[in-house]
Amino acid sequence: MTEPVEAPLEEWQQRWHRLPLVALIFFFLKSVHQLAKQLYQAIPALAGVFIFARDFRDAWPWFAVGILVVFVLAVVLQYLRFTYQVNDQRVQMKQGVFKRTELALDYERIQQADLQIPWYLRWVGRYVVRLESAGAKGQEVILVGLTQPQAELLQQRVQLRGNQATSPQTHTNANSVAQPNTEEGAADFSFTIGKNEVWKIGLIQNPFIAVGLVLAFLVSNERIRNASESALVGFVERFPSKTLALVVLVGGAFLLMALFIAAAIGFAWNKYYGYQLTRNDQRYSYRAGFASPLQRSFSLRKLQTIKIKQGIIARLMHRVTIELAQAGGMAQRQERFLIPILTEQQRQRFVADLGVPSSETTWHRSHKWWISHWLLITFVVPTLIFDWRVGVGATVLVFVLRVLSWRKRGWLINEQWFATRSGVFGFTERWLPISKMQSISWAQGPLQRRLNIASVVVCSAAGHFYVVDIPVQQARQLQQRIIQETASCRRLWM
Amino acid sequence: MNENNRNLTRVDERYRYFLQIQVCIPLLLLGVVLFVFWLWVPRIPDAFSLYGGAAVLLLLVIGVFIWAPRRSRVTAYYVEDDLIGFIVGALWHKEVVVPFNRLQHLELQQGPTERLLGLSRLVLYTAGGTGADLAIPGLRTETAEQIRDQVLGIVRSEVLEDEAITQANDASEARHD
Repeated sequence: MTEPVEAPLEEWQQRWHRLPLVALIFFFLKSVHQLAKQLYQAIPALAGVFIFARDFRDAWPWFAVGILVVFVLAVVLQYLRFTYQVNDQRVQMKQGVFKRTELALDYERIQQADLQIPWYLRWVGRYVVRLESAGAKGQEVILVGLTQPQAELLQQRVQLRGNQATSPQTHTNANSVAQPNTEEGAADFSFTIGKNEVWKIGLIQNPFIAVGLVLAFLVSNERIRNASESALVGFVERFPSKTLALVVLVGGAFLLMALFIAAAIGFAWNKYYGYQLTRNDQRYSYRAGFASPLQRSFSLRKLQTIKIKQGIIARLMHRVTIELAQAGGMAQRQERFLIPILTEQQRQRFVADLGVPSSETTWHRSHKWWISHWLLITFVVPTLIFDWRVGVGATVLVFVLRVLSWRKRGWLINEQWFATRSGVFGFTERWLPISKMQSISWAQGPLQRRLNIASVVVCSAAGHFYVVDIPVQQARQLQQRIIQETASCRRLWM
Repeated sequence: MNENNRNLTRVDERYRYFLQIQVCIPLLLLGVVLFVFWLWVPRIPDAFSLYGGAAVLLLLVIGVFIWAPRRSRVTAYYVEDDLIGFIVGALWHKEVVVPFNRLQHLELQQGPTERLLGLSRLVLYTAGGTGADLAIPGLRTETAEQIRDQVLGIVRSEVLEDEAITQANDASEARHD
């Protein structure tokens, strides 16, 4: 076993290594997570087997032991077959038991680097380093159980290479690249989430939606609905009076909801405890986390879009969330570079640091015709399925939502940025540096032609921007401006 | 439309035949199925097969004699110094533009019908989106190859500056804690 604990860094970089033994915990937890996911999907099949394979039912302990043995074996094999090498250009790894994969990740292609001391490695003080590259598949290398010098060396490499292209003309003092570890005083920008703000993060991430999902699950399927109804009736009958039962039920429901919200708050509190964001030269990084402190860093050069979000609760609390989005699969991304809570003033300061002029707020609107989309179908479908009254009701509801949504919709373009805004009760703003556009399309249907309006879709490496039903002349200007800015741009977009 | 200041090139005339064949294949198959129903499946009422057949015939006529010629007439592209654009549609207009400096890779594709007609399609990919961003169909294979070489030449000769597009604002009042 090659344990690189005591080995000096020089030597560590020259050979292929296995991860230290503590990494077994990581592989174990990862496999448990995967197994749980697969078991959840296999529940119907397993139930079927359990019902029909009567003769073997008594032997289930043996099956359980068998599965456990295979599981442990698989974890150990995964661990044994994982090797990696670090040099000054790239990180390489080989993994896989039957299907071997080999991956080489150049430092300059890395979009985001995470250093984390997860709770299960705190007792040995080891790090997990997670390096992520660009692309739709978003390849990543996860190295578990590195020592602090090893982890910091890797981080340094990423920062050095990632900044290389930008370093010549910037104001940087060369030291900030060589000694990237952020010292409060030396940072070019810094921002902290105080103790009395952290607990609000769980709230603005809309825990009520989760409550709603649980409720929806309870009434979604007939069998579950019947079971919960009969349980409810049985519960009420045990009380001397219906009022008392109602009080207990409502109280219980509130308690449950409070617990749920407390859990959401606690979860976010644990994740973002002690959040501190800093910028050194062109690199942002944040540290946060109670049980598993994380340091995540990201080069501004690789920024694709900025997403500013405010949900309904965040709106009541006058807070926003900002995400710095990078290239590649937006939908499945879990590990985002997030500033989870900002006041209006903090938002302005941060956005100004990113180079977005905060004074520009003249949003252009869509044509009112936009409101009418989907109205016909929301009338026709319920009418065919239920009744015309349901159809009218649905249409009115959708109409109101569309009007609210139309009032929030907008787009703007200024010297360097193109932005769209949407939302119903809250809002989502997305900002794109104009010349980071990838492709742009312009569309106009027959009805739009009559109304003299058109739609533009701007594709960025981090999602599409839709500007629907705007006056033809504006659409043309927008299209030409973005094309011109991008086509003549010789600077690096990635 | 935006033809006024663009140097549009229409796709090859044979693209019309390609579209006509594309229309015919599924409709003829459907027609054959209906014919089989009419002849050998007594359980399906004859009226169904006959009206269905009439509808298929109507669609075939519209597709082959009206839609395909018109569509091929309104399918065009333009190649400029720093970008490539594609325009399509008679009723639903669409125009897609990809600047060369955002191009990730490009392909020439050719299906069996296209091979028969000596046509190819040029497919361009950028980092924005999961599939192809722009596909120009109905190009004569030589033309497609020529455009491909031209585009590759432009992309290869591209000189990039060291500076990045997104940079932090260095406002001194940004310092805060």
